[in-house]
Amino acid sequence: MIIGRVLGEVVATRKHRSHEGRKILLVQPLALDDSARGEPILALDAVDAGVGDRVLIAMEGYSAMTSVGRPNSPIDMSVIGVVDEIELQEN
Amino acid sequence: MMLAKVIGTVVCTVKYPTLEGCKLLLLQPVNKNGVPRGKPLVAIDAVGAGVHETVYWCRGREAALAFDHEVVSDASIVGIVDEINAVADARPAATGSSAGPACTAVGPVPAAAPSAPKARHNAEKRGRR
Repeated sequence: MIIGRVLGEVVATRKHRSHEGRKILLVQPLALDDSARGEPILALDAVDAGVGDRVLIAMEGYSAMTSVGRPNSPIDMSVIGVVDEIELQEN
Repeated sequence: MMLAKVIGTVVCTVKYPTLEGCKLLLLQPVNKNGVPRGKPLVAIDAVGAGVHETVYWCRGREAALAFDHEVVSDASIVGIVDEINAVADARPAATGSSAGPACTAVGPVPAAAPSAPKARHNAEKRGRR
């Protein structure tokens, strides 16, 4: 899993039927210092996250499709948590 | 899933039997501003997408699940993007070298300075690919 920030939502009228009824979030993966890491990805929303939230993203199919309640569907990423706090212990 | 633009079609006369009737499209992955990122790839269309459309696609084992029958696919188009409603990046300086010229034109010099190493790093990464 990785941490990311929700940048926005994507609207798609024509999409796979398993994606219907779920928000598609545009999420920017973050490094530990909150800076952007790589390009934004699209993830289905399993926890009702909103724009600006720091979130936990599952990046593997089984967990992603199970978390949104759509087993055996083409879903490879989903938002599975809203991060309240990260405590980083640096030595 | 990731964003991409459909840049062409691929035709295969001889192909694995489960691919019969499947449309093969050439995708160029893009960022949220539509700027190309990375190498083009071939994906199987599950939603009826066409050339020049912005789509989103998934990869890996899940890509094969986009169809009613078992299809050998490691990249499938699963949605056609109508609209992207995005706010400004969390850290604008760290992303989107594409917005570079606009940023330097309107942004203050101190704000633009931290982005330079990152932009250079990205450019090097692109060069290596």
